[in-house]
Amino acid sequence: MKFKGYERPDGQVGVRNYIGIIPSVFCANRVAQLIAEQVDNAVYLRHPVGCSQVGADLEITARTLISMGNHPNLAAVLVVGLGCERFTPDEFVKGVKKSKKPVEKVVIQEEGDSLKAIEKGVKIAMKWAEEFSTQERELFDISELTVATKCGGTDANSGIAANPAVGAMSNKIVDLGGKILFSEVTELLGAEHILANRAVNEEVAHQICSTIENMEKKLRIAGRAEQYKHRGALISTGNFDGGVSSVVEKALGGIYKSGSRTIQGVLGYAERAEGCRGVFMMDSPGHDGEVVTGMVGGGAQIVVFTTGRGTPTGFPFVPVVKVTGNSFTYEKMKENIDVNAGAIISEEATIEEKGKAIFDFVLEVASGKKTKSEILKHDELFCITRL
Amino acid sequence: MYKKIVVLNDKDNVGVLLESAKAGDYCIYKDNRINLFEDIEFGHKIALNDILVDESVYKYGEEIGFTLEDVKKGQWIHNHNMGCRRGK
Repeated sequence: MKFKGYERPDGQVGVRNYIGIIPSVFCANRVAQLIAEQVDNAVYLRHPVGCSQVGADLEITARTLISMGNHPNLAAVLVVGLGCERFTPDEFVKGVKKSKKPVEKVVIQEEGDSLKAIEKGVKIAMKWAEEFSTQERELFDISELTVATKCGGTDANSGIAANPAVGAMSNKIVDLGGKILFSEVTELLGAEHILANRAVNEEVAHQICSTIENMEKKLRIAGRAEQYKHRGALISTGNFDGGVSSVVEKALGGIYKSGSRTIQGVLGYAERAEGCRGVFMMDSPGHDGEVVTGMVGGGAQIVVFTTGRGTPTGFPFVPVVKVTGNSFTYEKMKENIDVNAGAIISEEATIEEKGKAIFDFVLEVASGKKTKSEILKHDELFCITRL
Repeated sequence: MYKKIVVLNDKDNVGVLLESAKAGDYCIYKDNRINLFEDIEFGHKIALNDILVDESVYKYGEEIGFTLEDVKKGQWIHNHNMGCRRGK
């Protein structure tokens, strides 16, 4: 089985062909935005980081921004810097060169002012937009696909219909040689024994358990103080309203998304499992934006996102496929949700049938079909995690 | 009125309502009638049998929490009468 994608110079395959305009620091956000707005097929990544950070926190920012630049859905990358930031435009450019794709930089303090930087940036991006407008899609094997799985606005239907159906899709992708990512470690508490049983070996089983244990320790510390007791809920108001009563109940329903195949390893935030196939767990908190950004950094060209309460969000250059298991939510939010798996609840379809429907939809999206969040230009999910 | 529930695992002591229910409605599980005596929303859980305080609540065949008080068969089980020790 094949899909039609865009080949990159380093052999990666993109499912979209955007020009990426990426600030190395938040101070360059407006310039990056204005460059992107003037050029066809250009996207920019707004973020609040890149300076006044130290150690592991700055490292995660650097690694994540570089991983965005190296992502195969971007044909070329323009780094927009200010000039005095800690994560330097030079380090950023050097990191993106690994992908062998065209990469250049515009630095506001070097150009003189924001207007001059915008002019230079637009000219560079225009040249690429022209060049890549004639690139054609070619046929590629499913083994070139990495699909990220995620749930947001979970309700009780997610664990019964949407997540198991996505899990059936995940199994198909893995069986055909592709890669599946799952994460949301804040919402894996209580499911570690099930995940550890799926680990390829003892070491990975141990990593799964220790990653979840470390996250639980952080949550304990954050929620312990008496004055923040009213902020101590581990799942959201909407999860409770939707019938989910505990973080463990959410976890047990959530892990279905990754299917049932062997877990090959645990990745750090925005880390790639180069040359590997199968299922990988990523260490990231469950925040929709942070976890999707981490998994896109991990190479996911497509995100499959289940939602019970309904959410419209999207990512600037990666298609996000929305799946719900709640037919009421689907009827209410038709313009935001791509696939309704609610027929599993009404017993008019099986989990396997809906899994196949999601798989087919994902392949169509990989070949160019736009998702609802793409058509409506939703781009909220680019959020870099902080320590 | 009859209301559908799904029980995800034989080990479970809760079922999930597949449609919203009113007090006086009932469900059937393994030929056993379960009467509901409060309004309960679609997607929420009901006890399949009496559960004593501090007993485990099972869904998906796994423990999802423990009861904070005695719960009667057919009663709504949610965060008002079920706790969870993880992450706290």
